[in-house]
Amino acid sequence: MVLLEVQDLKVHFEIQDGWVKAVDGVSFSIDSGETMGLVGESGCGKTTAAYAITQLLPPNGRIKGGRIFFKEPARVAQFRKEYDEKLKTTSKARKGEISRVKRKLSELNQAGRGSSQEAEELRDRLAALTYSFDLLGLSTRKDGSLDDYNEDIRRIRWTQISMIFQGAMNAFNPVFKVGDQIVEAITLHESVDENAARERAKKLFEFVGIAPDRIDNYPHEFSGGMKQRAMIALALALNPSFIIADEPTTALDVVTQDRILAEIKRLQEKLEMAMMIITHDVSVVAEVSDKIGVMYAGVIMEIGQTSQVFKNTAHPYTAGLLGSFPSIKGEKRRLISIPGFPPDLVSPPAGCPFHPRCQYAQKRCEEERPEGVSVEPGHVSYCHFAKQLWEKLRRNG
Amino acid sequence: MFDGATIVKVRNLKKHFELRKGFLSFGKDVAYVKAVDGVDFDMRSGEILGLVGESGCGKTTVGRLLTRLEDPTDGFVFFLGRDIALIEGQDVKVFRRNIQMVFQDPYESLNPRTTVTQTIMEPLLNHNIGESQEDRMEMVVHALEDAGLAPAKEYLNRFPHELSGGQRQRVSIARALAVKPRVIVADEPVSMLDVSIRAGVLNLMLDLRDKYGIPYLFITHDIAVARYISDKLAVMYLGRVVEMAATDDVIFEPKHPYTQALLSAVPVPDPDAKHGRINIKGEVPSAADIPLGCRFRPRCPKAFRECGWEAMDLVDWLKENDHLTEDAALGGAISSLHPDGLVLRLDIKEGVDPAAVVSTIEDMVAKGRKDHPILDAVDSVDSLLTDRLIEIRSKPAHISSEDLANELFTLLESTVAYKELDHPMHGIIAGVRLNGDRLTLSVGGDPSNIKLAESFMVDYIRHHKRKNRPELKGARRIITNEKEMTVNVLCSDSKEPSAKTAEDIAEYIENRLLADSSSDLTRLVLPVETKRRKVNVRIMGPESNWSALSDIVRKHLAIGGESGESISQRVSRISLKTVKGGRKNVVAVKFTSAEEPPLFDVGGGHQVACYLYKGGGARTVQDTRSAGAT
Repeated sequence: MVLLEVQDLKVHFEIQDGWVKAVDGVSFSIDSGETMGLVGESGCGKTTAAYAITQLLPPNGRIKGGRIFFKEPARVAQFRKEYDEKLKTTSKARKGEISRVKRKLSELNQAGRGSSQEAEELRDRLAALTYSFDLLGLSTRKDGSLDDYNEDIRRIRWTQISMIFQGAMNAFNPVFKVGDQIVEAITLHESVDENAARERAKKLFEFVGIAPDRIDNYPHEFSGGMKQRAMIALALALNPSFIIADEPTTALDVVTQDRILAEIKRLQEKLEMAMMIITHDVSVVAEVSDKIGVMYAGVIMEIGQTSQVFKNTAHPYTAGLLGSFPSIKGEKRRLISIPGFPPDLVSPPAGCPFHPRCQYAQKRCEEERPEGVSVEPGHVSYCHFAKQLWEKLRRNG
Repeated sequence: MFDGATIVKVRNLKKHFELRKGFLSFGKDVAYVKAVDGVDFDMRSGEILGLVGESGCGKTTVGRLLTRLEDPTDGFVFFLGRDIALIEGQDVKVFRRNIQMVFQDPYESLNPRTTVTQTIMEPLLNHNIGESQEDRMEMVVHALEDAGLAPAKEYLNRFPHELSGGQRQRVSIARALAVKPRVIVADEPVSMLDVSIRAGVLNLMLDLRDKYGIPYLFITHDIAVARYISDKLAVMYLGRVVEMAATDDVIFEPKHPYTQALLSAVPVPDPDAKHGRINIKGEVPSAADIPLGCRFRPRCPKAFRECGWEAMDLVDWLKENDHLTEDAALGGAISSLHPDGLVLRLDIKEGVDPAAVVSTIEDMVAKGRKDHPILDAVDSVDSLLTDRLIEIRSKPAHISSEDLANELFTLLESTVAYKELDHPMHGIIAGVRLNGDRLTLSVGGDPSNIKLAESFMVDYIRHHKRKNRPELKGARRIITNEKEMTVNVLCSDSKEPSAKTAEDIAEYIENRLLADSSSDLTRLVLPVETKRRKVNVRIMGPESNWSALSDIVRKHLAIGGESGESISQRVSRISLKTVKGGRKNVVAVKFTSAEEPPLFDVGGGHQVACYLYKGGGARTVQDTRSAGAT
């Protein structure tokens, strides 16, 4: 079942010289219990996309379009897709349809059949027509900025969607005890007393592999790996159904990284949470995720099951990224670097943003933004020539 | 391709940083962070040596010691046969030109206010390279094009902020190369760069090595990167190299348990790759408190008897196995535990017979010896005379002029390789003779060499005096004889500080007097303590041990005693002491001591610092256990 669906998300930042198009039309979906890896180099917009989901953008961030559906019932999603095919988002026809459905519903209510199957269906249709499950619809102001303190969002944030922040080293407040910071998160969102919350924090510590008596330590008394574990405990505190992990192991040594990844995998399987891991490290996602999205210059280049993307690569950028990654396994081969460097997102190249660095680029790539091309079930490449290149890239990889 | 000549030799290199404590701990012993603690390696021309390890293992400090950004606490770095610690004056500049560094962060290592031209020109001007400005400009262009920034004129007038990360790192490399160094130390040069850029910089560094044959010391935490770039790999753990070999030998046949665990943790960019994870316990200990014996032992899945166990390990083991709970036989009898190096002191509750505790532990050891290497390493279990003490006071040692000359001679012979071709003193110092209180260096070649040899000796003595040989102040007269072509060092009588004498006495007692393992005495004494001028020897076992031992100590150390060595002259008084109110029931468990494992050669230049490979072959864990049990 689809847990989260992101549709054509656009997040831009206002700066002196104009707009940084950090995320410029990103779509993906995550099923419950699934792990998706979002990979890309620094500045490709992967972190911004994640922060848009939790709605924690910096003040100059603006939502310029898109919808994020979270925990949308399957039938609503189905109706929504039907309507989206038939009716435009702001069309008169849609407004007419909305008032028609509303009228029917009130007629049923008056007839005392408000809980009938027919009425249920109408309610779902109304939700689909008005995008009721769109997180962005709840809190986006007219100018595209987000209302961080929106009550509806605050009810969802952390209880339903929580985050493991990048650099656990600095994510805890150094002047408060680690345990107290977890207790605070619990008592803020649930009506439990402090002792119960403390007990729960202790259990969480044990759960992530830290001795429960360390709950009264300050962050500086923890090693890097322990801080990261405590961060995970904090993210788990309210039993969310979705966790976003932003570079969860980047600052850690390999041995610790390996342990934390194993820990994340174990907990996720046990708690059946869905997860999104954001990282620049291709080998990390290869280890933990079921599904991968490769981002470049604010857009997704390729998305698919992990083995599809790694084995049946269908985008020149993904191929370049994988080819420039050294490995400790197998024969030593010369790394192939991608020429040039990532574009400035204030004025990204027209057409496919990767075309200036792409060895297969043609005239069409400079002019036309590629649509998603489905090369095999569940595997989409945003390249005009995905089908033609697929055979070639697979052979090289 | 390249002659493979040794360019850099690193021997027993150490760097200990003093740990600043709060002012309240004034007067207490100073603690040291042993960032680098005995590292040996060679760098040959045309070879890239990868130095890998986790953060805090000391790899960056090794790089800084090599470039003389730090001075070593002990040990040597020989650059082309020359001890870099002794390089002074104008030669420092030449040395710095020859060892160049590429730093991690290209955003911080370039001056934001200077153009690319100025950045690369600066070292050329500093070192007076090039005949004219045009000449130097040509070198700048050449260096940039070498570093893949072509055409160079596009970049010459740019400032760092006008360059991407990869381009900045290329400028750093061009700057290092412009002065034609003999060695490059690269500290995490690609870790700040994005993946797609990183490959280009790595390939550039490989191409430049092929072109110029300059050896690199490539320091990184990323093992995949190290594997890609280096010919030889050294793995560091907590200040020491634990394994060193040709790169793919380390990657595909890791021998050291740490390397094995480290490699098993490296993620692989292949979703189908099998992940054989080797778990190691706990986290890296603090470099201020390094375990005795093998420093990886507390976390090692293969540790066995010989690895050098200590008291702290036993405490952990007892806790893990529930021997310290109130209802356990042992836990019920003891009131507190005091681990101290190789000895664990257990304070016994009042009314409990220490002999019973001794036999409880002895039983435990006898039963568990086979399955638990830590119990296998227990040397003795004994009750302790807490209130008895042999106290030896030292006096400032008088060193006769002859002894001093002898010491200087030994030091010189062991540290200055003037007989080797590439040593700067080769051909200048032809030989060294010892003649009573006089050290005579015969000088070869041109008469002007006498001046060179003289200034070398002056620097040499000054350096070692400052470092750890204060007594060398007695060797201050240096006389040259041009007719005979000699430089003479005259030694006069000297004094050694009493604290150092006390240390020497303690060492003598531990290493000489008690080294005979057949004697029961080794089992009687706790680690010998020194307190400034005093040496304290504390005794285990019954009262009779105390008098027996004191007799022996007296016999050897008293003036005119049997040691017949200068050590007895440094003792001012030996006394037997009873510490008032010190009587407690204490049981001590003592472990066999073990040296830190050196690098054992397992063939093909593959070196491993692990006792499993002592004698060159690999022993299995079973081998080691059964050997210990017999």
